[in-house]
Amino acid sequence: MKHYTKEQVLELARENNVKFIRLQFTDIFGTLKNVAITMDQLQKALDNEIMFDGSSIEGFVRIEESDMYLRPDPSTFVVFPWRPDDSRVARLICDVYNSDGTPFEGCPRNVLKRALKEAEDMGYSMYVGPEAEFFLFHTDEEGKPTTITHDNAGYFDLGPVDLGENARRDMCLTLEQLGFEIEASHHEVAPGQHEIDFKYDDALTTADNIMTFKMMVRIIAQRHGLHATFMPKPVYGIAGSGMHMNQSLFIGDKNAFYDPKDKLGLSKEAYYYIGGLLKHAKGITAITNPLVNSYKRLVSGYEAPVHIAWSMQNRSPLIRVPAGRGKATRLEMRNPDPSCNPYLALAVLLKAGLDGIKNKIQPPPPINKNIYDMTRAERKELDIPSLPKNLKDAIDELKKDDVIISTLGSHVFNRYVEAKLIEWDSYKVQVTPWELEQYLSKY
Amino acid sequence: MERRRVFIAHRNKKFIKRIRHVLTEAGYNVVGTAVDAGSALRKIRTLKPDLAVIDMDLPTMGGLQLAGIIDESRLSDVILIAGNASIDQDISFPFISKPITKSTLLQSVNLVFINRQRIKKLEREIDKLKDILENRKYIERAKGILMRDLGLTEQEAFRRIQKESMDRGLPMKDVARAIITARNTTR
Repeated sequence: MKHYTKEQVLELARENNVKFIRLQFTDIFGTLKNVAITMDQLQKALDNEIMFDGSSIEGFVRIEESDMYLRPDPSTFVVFPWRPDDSRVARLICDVYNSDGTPFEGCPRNVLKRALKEAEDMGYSMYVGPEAEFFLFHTDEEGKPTTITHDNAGYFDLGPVDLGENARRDMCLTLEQLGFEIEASHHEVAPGQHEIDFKYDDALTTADNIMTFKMMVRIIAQRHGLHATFMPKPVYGIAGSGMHMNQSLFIGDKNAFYDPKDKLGLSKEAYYYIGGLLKHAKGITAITNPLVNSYKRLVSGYEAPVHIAWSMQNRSPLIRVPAGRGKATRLEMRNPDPSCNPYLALAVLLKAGLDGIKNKIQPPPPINKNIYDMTRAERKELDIPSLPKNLKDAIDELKKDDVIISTLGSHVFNRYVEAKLIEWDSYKVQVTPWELEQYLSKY
Repeated sequence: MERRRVFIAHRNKKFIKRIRHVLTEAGYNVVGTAVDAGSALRKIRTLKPDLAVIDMDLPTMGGLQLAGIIDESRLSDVILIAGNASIDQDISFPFISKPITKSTLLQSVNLVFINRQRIKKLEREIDKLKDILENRKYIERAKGILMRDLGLTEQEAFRRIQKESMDRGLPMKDVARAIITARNTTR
């Protein structure tokens, strides 16, 4: 992680001919918000004096308590690479504060910071490497996204040019210009599906990076006449998009999950952390898989997890322990999808794991068999529970999990549940094309 | 000479047809057309035309933003077709204002191609100069090393590099770089 002082930010902005700065923060539903200021206001912004109307942000506050302050984090300063040299745009990621100078409890970045502070008090720092998948689709003549992919849309007089590949290459280049270290970038299982993995970092930087990543991918896609979507399951019958989270805890520069003396090379903390994740898996799903659509990805047959178990090799359970040991020892949580709010998702994952460590929660033995292939009776015998089957079940599970509720804080929890129940109720009453197809002529 | 490849983006298909006709008759190769910015970007990135003729009033993005992306990504040259209202704007691209006649269209397209050739020639020259400058930098440093290490005069050092280059059939730059590398690794 870089560290800039206010003075360095001002200097960098001047050196790069920055004209506008976007002050960014994320609402509780994971949407990136911008307050744009000019270069003249940068000093004021860095002195935490920029105010905005919080009531204009979904899920934030009521009208009567609407004055909020933005506190930019100087180390998040970057200059966007694509604008003309003479009027460039930069951004700063901000924390949201109340007018009395206290951190706003509805700010997801503050929620993650709170969780990280608790880990720090226990001696741990959390590192996360995400693997985000997304689809690239064509836009139609009105600019609206379709679900048509490049792979099947050749132009009459052209060879097999995959515009998606070109767009992805452009995305990687742009991300590298922004300081990302790209570890892998490839076409995924489904047509039009892509994955870009960037290097792990401390949890807060990674959450910031995920927001920046999603923004960049969308912008670059648009510049290629494509629409990038992080919707978890845009097309029935093909794989959906996940965002696996590779997590590790460090004590100083030592990986706390590694123990060379253990049979699997894992420390007690690693086992307890797994125990915590498994115990709270149901409660955190509403956060890591926040949409009605998220649950259409979490079905068997597409490498998405359904069952709450862990494994060393097999890719069907919720948690996999990849082969790397030493500093690379990590746990891969496989249910999160890229529509989640990364700040809240990392906060609940961390707190679930820490709860495991605090209460020495022993996980069941790993399952090294493909769970998809087991019969229901076999699963029952092994006592393998399933993740919530839809958003409503997930919300009900969240409401039962006090550790997760306290991680979110009552403000975020109440707003989140309220909004998600509205989403569910609105979905529930829809008459879908599937129903028409099945029933209209038959009954 | 290879036929010049042109792309047309305009919301009106009839208008595209007219421009395509005029350009084709004048010997240009119209490689593709689009009625919205999204498909224009997709096609231009695949077809790689020399020139894109773009209407300012293009659906979904606007011609000016589209032209900006094409220019920043160095996809092709651009001519904008501007309505009367947009002429006052600060447009950093060549544009033709409506109504468009055959002669203004052909003159402007021709002008862009003439400029394009001139710019290409200049770019080639710049590349050549950059190369020379680069070579000189290495040769100077290598000369310095030889002068210091072998006690040669500047002229002798230069001759030594030159001779080595001829004997080995290598460009002088490569010989110079080898000397610098050798020096850096033995130190």
